[in-house]
Amino acid sequence: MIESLTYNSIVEGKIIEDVLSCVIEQGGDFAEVFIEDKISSNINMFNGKIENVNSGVSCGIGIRGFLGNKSVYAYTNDFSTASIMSVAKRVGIALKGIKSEFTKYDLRISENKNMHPVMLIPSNYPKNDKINIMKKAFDGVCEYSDTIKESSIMLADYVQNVTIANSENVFVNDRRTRVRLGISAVATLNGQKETGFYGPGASMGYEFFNIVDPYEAGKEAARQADRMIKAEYAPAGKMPVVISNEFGGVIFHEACGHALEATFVSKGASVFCDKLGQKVASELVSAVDDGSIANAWGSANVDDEGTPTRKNQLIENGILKGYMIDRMGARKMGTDYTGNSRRQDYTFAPTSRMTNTFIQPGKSLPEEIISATDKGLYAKRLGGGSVDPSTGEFNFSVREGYLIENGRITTPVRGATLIGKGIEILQKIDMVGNDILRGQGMCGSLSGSIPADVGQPTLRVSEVVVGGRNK
Amino acid sequence: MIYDKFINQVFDYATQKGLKEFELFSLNNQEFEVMVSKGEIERYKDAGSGGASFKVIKDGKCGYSFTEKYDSENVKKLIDDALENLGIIETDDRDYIFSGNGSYTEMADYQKSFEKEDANKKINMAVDLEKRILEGDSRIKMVTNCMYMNFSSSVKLSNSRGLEVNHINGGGGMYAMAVAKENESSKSGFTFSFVDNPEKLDIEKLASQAIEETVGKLGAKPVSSGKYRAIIRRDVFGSFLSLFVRMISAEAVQKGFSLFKDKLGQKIFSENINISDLNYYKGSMFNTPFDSQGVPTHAKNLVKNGVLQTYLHSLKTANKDGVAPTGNAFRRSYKGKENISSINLVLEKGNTDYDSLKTELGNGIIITDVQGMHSGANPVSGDFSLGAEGYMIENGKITFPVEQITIAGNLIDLFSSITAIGNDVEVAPEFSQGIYTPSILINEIEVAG
Repeated sequence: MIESLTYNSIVEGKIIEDVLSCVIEQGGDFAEVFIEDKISSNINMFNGKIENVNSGVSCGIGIRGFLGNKSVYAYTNDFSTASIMSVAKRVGIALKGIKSEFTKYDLRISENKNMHPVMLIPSNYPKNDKINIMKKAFDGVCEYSDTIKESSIMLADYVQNVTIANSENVFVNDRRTRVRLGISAVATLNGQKETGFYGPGASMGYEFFNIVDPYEAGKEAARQADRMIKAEYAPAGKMPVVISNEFGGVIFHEACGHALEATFVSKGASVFCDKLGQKVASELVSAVDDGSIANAWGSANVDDEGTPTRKNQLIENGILKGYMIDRMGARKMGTDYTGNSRRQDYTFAPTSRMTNTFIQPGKSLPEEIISATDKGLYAKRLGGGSVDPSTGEFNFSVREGYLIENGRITTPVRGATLIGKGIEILQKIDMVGNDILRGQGMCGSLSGSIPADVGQPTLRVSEVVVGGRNK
Repeated sequence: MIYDKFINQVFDYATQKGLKEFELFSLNNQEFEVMVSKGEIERYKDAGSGGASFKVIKDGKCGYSFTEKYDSENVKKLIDDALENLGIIETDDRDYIFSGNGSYTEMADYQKSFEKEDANKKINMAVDLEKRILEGDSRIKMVTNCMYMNFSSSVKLSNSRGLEVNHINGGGGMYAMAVAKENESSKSGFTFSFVDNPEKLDIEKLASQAIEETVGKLGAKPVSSGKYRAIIRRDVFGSFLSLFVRMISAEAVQKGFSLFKDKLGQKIFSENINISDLNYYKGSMFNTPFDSQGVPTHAKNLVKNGVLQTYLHSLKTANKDGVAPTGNAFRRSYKGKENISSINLVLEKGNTDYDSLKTELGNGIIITDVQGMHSGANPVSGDFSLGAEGYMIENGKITFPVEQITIAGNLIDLFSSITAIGNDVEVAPEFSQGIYTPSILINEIEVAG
């Protein structure tokens, strides 16, 4: 069953049309309205007991105008017509364009279907059932090992309804429903502490937990903490690194993904500028960003400019094929936009962002990659990272690592960070596995914090700087 | 006006429901931001919005809910949701509403000095800063982010015990990031200044800092792995202090998420370390007479001669430990619960100026930048491993810039090996609290390159 995305926006169509007219009349050459109405809930459990429960409603309207390469944004959550129109006028005036003739808009809503169907709507899902999910996760944490002394579990969900309209006849609704379970486990041994984290999520309702077993998720967080508390400190220096699948894809996200966003590319502030059609990575590397994957964490029917999401090939066999582009980026770059414009909420103007970004599978078996590595680091779980897109310098942390010795995974090691420069790392990928998986994260940038999937198969980088501690 | 009516409706409905302990917290935020590129406005934002959070307590259990809609329909929903949320709480730790007893430090509201400034002047200043950076050195190829911004946040808190307080915070500043290229080397660097009054913005200084921070790194190279003596520059050390704050939150301590459990009154760092938390620091954007629960704030020592003096408390954690709340429970948004943080964290300065620190260092490395603090540093274990940049120092003089290295260690070891403290105090680039620290000299840090 595919539902139709129709609902009554909190702002009448007539007012939306007036807003667009106002911005254009004041001299803008493009006007856009973004209306958001969101219900969210957040439950925290500490050591098996529910400690905090919060829920609420947020809503607002964001109005954006363009004139050439200039973008002006303002928002309000006062929905009186007078307030909305005064924000529209302010946007128009700040563009400092030449006043033009009154343009009348007659918007027709585009009928679109929800390609990310939801069965169990979070706002109707019983709180006690939510708690049961958390208790199962807690059981998974507790029963794993007696080194685990503390745990903190979070269950968050929201339903975000948006209406997007612009002066180029876009008028569309979308509904983004997301749930995420986040589990932190703390292991204690000999006065030292280590943490494990696992945070599966999806653009789904509570049927997500028919696919993901909270007990197993809890075990996974506990397993990492337990392994790492018994681990030695990681070695320091340059070495081959085998990065496991799923959240390991954060390496592509940081080392390459951000620098492929129009935000940086359009100003010439990316190491990937003017490199379309050129070889930027090892020929084993193909990568895509796809915001249309059914029910994936970073998916939506349309982006936050109302453009349908789609699969964009970024790199194919090492050759740079495309960037991730929003409307303003498309203007500056003289190209088309790609359905990648995103924002945290109505208080942010949207910009080009990743959705679900991953390296596509290769041909090697993961165990072949390990056995082909004489000496190095196996990064089983990565944490977060960051990047400077203008130089490509990135870093990210290894949550769970192991030494590779004589083609075998041996001693667990902790506290490692990997650093490098994007293009150099991409060129040093010399083995790519066939075991693609995606993992969930939150990505922070110019337009706020947004849900994004990262992903990859197991792969090997021939040489990376590993920041550990010499023993 | 609408909000005043809303408060009355909330209190009326809560009373009608027979609620005895509740609180309404609201924020009204205004922000302005202009980013320029090549002399033209690229992004411009001028807007505001607000919302309110309701907190209710019954039998020590607490429920929260929030709304951005101030209509009568949402009054009911707000309170009913909070009660429903309270109904599933299981913790034994009791929460409280502030009784309203206590005296507040006299503190003026933020005078909205940035908001009074003409928008065109702000735009021109951003354009001017970009131009000065670009023209200041031929190796600067681009200014990727050049911004002028300001914000103000008006907080109102009222509770069932008759407490009614409000305060306005705010400030603004400028930020620029530049990219320099020479031969094969491409480096970026940034400069910022966040102040409580636009008159304090010094464009010439900002431009020269941006150039120095960027051009100075050209030709940087890694150094070989090993242990180095090091200076951690003030802005970088500020990030470590923000990690420390998370570790002395009583909430983290009580939950077993901190290495400082059972360490009150004990020596945790070397004797030369004195750290305090001030509710007022001249020029800070974070000064406040009360925390988000209405508890009066005050100046206090956190670490005195290396000995841990107190944890930072909310009403709830203070009650659990049987101590007085410290006024450190803050809400950055009405959408979330209180988090424990410092207000203006200050590391007491030493006598050595920055140049003398280099002399004292002799041979070693200056760390001027770290990356990945949010992922590479663990506030539970205190372990960190971070991407870093800086300069090699030989005989007290900079010899070459360093890049593509990591520094690793544990926060406790780091704070225990400080052998000299500078007098070059500056505010760190942090957005949720004021952090004021000088640069420090340490005996040993693990470097990988």
